[in-house]
Amino acid sequence: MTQTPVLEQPPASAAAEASASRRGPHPPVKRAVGVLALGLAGAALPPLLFDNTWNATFSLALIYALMGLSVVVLTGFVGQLSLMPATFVGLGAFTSGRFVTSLATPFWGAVPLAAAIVVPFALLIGMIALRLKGLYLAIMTLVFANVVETFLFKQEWYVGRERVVEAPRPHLGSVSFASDKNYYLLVYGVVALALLLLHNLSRSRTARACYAVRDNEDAAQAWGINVAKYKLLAFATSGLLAGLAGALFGHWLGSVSAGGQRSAFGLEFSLTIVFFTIVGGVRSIWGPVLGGTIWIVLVQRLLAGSPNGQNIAFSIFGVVVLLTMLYRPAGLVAWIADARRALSRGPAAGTAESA
Amino acid sequence: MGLADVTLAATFTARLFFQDVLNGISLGAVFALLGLGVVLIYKSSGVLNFAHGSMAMFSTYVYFEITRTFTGIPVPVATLMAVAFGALLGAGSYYVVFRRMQDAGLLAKVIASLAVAGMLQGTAAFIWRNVTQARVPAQFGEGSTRLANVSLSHQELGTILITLLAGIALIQVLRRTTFGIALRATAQNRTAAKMLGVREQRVAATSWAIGGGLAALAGVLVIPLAVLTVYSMLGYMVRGFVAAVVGGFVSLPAALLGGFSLGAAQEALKATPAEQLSSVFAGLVIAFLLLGRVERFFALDQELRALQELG
Repeated sequence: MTQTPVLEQPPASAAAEASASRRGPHPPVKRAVGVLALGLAGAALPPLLFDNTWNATFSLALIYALMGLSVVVLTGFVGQLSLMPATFVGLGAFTSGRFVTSLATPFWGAVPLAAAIVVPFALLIGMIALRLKGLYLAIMTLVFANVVETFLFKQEWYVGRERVVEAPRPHLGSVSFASDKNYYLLVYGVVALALLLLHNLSRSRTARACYAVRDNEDAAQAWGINVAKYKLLAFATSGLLAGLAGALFGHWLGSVSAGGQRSAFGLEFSLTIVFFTIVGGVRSIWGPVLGGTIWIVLVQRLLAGSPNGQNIAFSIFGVVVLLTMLYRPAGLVAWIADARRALSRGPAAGTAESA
Repeated sequence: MGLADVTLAATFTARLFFQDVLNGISLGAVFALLGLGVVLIYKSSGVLNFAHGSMAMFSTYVYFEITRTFTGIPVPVATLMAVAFGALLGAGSYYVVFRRMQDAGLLAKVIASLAVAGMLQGTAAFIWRNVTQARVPAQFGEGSTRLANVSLSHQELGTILITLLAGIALIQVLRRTTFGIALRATAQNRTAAKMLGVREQRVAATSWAIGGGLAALAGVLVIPLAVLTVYSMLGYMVRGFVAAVVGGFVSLPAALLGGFSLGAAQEALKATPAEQLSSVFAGLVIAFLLLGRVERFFALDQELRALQELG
């Protein structure tokens, strides 16, 4: 056994597709209407039904999901583990804040610019990663994250003397996104678009090439798949997503601080992102949505009364990640897929017998 | 500016330089101690132990708690207790987690060790939530020795000596004892070692215990010179990993050498105009080590290949 798949998981998709075809072909129009209705409900319901505080929680959960998606693209799609997602998030947050406050760039330009600026950094890491075997990437990103955290995030020209960068929320004409309800709508739009694009991407030819690289790099190479191209593509996408999430996160916070003793964009934050993504399911784009929501609701809501909520949550997630790795590496989304399959199989099995 | 001024400035920088190098060597001793443990654990079980710094941090908090609560216990005894706790923590995490993951993939093991790290960080932050910036007693007192025109505190001197002793002892153990031979055999060819009667789990558990003990030792030796927070071992662990990379996670002497030289070089930079480089130095070094594949100068090809296949 020279090459082991990095995360062993049963190929669940084949069974799922089989059961889907048993239900008969889905009329594409009906399906599109369903997705659209769900999407609109997700946009409309939280601001209508919940107060501002809850909307802030929801938008933070979506921003975290976006951070987790950067892990999904890199770890779930091509099997590369980076321990610096929070570093890229920090880069996005500071850069966008600086664009708005120091260069008077409008939010709508600053956020994409900040996300774009992270891409070359991610590509640089990716180019080094091409030459590394397996776990060396994790070590290198661990060291690089520490370096950026103790060097760049302390530079006065970048984060200012107080190490705090203001990041105000935007407005579009007369519409202000300062309130948590309106900012939720904005974040929701961005994250929904990202999810839609990634959903399509995850079924494309490109993604299948990525999965081949992940499962067996040598075999993929032998098949003529350009391993370097797909790895770099994943690094760039991952950096873009993390930078975008960071920019949105910065403006969610209002002011971005590099943190004191507890570094704001250090290893702990990176671990948090990796943890909730794995708990949710690192190979599915819905994994971080699920995991991120659970994490945020846990920290921001259930444990909000305790000054140590984050520490408790961190320990709990440590245990849950261990259990996930030991018993169900595919994460929570796999349980949901199981449940859906069981539900759809129940009546289907009955009709098959009667026929 | 007269000639005298120039000479004065030169001697001043030279003194600073040697002082920084000396401090760097003692700092490097800590990197080396951590690196040795990381290498040992990786050799025996194929786990890249990202929880190493957290284990050191947790054991140091235990040391802090012992010296604070039981003031009657002498400092050396408390130190030994903390090291024993570290060993238990190491062996415990092997038995509870990593023994079950022997056949798991590379990434799965790394993520599991990250999870252990997260658990330890969160738990320590919760238990000692009211302790901010704890101070712990030094094992070698507060005094310092002057050597020519530089000085070194006894604690730093003690750290260097203990690290050298521990490193040499460990290298000899691996070379001469039955355990050492069994460990090397496992690292080189796991299946063959098993067939020849090596008890893989016992070897791995012992290595984890030694690694955990060394991590605790590193923590209790360095923290008296700094302050103890949940995050204070992180930077040391990162550089301990760099030390381990020098020998490709296989060679103990290379990790020892790597730790000392990284510490010395990093601190020496502080006395030069390139002072700013000091904090990014570890990043440059790791990129150089990995891209230059420096490990092939220190480790047998066979061992490197065997470990890559293990993962």
